[in-house]
Amino acid sequence: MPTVLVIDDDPSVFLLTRKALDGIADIVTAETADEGLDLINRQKFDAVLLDIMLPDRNGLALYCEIREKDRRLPVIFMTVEAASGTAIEAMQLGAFDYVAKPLSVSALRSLISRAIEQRELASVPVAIVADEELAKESGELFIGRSSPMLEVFKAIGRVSKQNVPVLVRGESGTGKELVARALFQYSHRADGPFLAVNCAALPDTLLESELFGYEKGAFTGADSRRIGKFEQCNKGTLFLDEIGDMASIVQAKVLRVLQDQRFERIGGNNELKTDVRIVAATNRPLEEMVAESTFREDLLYRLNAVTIYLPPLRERPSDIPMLIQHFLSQAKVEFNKPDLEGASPETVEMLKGYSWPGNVRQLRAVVRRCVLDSALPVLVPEVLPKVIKEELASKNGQSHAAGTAGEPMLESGGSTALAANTLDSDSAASVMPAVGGGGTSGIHAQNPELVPFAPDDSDADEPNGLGLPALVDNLFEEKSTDMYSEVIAYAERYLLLRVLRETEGNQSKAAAILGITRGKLRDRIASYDIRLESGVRIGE
Amino acid sequence: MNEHLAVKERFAGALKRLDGDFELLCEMAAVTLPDCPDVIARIQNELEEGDCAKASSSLHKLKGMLSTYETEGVVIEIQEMLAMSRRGNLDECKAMFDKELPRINNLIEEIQVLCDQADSNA
Repeated sequence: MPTVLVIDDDPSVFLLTRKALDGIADIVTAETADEGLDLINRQKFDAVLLDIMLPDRNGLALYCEIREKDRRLPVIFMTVEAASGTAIEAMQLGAFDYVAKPLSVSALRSLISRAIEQRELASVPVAIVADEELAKESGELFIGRSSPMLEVFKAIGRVSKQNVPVLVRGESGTGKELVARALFQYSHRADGPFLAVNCAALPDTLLESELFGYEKGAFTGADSRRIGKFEQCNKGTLFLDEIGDMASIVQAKVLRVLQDQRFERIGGNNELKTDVRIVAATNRPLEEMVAESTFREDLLYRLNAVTIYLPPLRERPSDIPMLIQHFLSQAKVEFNKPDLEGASPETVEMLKGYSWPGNVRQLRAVVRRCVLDSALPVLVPEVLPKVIKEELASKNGQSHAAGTAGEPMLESGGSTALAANTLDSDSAASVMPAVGGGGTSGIHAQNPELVPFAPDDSDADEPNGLGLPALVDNLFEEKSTDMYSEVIAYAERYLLLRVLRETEGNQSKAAAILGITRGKLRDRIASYDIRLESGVRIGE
Repeated sequence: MNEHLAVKERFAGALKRLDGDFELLCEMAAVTLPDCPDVIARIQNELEEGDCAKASSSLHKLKGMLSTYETEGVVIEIQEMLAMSRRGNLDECKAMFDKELPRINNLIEEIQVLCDQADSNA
């Protein structure tokens, strides 16, 4: 049976704790800080319940002494003034939790059970050690020893010194920009500039200006000459991220630079020459886009003379422990958590078993979030995001709501909540909500897998954009590690539907209002599964 | 029997926190109550002597002891006195303590009923 030390000068607390933990833990009591510390020196405990105000010493001072002796021992503070700064300070110092007096039997039972469980999980030797030195050494370099990654390294080595364009392909979050940087660092152009432009982040006209610059008076607002990236980057490397989102007019001008390194500023007559190496990246199917005439075939052939494919993280699970160690070490330094020891074997196994749709970027975000959330020096499965626990529970074919000490990944029942969110409203968090066109314009978006429409409900899920606060709340609750993209996707989906409804489905007008190309709009419409069907209501 | 029910109703909030365990509540009262007069006397002395730190500590203890049974009423006033004492407003605190003492004693008398119950259970 685990043993809990209760340090409080109010003996009635001992009675209550015994009742609360009957059958869960044995209780040892101390009425003073000295007495408590003496017990900790002589005996092993699984958790400590500590009053902040003790007759001989402040509980916080005692807590610091306890940590000196056993950093993994979960300490729960009790305070009759829950809102006090002391309680906040206790949490900042790394307390497991704190409870307000008067104590509640059920709350205390639940909290101490959780502390005991985490103590048990954290007591095993860490599988991965957080090492500050490692964080310093590794910098921003690639991490991985798997054969797919070795192929990537080899490819970088083969082409870095060749003055040819390179196309980097891979899913979002795989590290395409890192490949571009590596190509730059190991090239003969390493002393020149490296500039990166995200083609999807700028409207087409702005992208053109950004890349090629403009002359004074070229258009309204062009008050002075602007030098574009192709000029700035002379003798260097220009990274064009998300090149699949580039408008046709810009594609043509980029092609010309690729062919003979010549271009003109917007509104200019002088032909300029530049010496730029282009590294482009995309996760979009350029070949299909060529077939659909949304991407220039000649540009594709120019770009893909050398193509480097970055494997998704799920195809190189053997690299995950090394990546975890790298990110843990970085977080330890960055978040100033010198007590952080590492991740437990169970945690590492769970992280290895997840599919990582957001790839390395997602893994990094998860590790950092866990480090921030963990009150213990060892990351245990409890701190992992719900989405990981749910996927693993689903893989194991087990009930989402069930949970035992031996199977921590099942603790937070999730898929029920997910389903509820899905059908709830447009405020639902991590799923694509059903959005309807109201029956007249025939515009709708749907995720058929998640949202079974009933034809009569055509107006029920109309997005009004007001669900944003609820969405953010929900993402916090779910410990999302992809909040930015989730929220942006929500806003973008709402905007597209709103504008398309306004233009009654006319894509040219919608693209003009939105300030994006028709190609980009079509792409977004497809991404969000928005269907434009004249006079057709939502659902089919 | 009616008195028994009235006591349970009086301390319904406390009982809820204890999962309805009336016996436990009575046992806790029997442990807490004997210390109350001593803590009250200490507070009075410390306020007389102008010792803010000690008075704050004793007021904190009294609040902790009584809040098991009552989280409203006079317990809120004790928190206010605690704040006064920490701010160094001892005169104000002392005046308030003198004013609130009858209510404190009244609550202690109510808790005494629980102690009696514990004695009869024993």
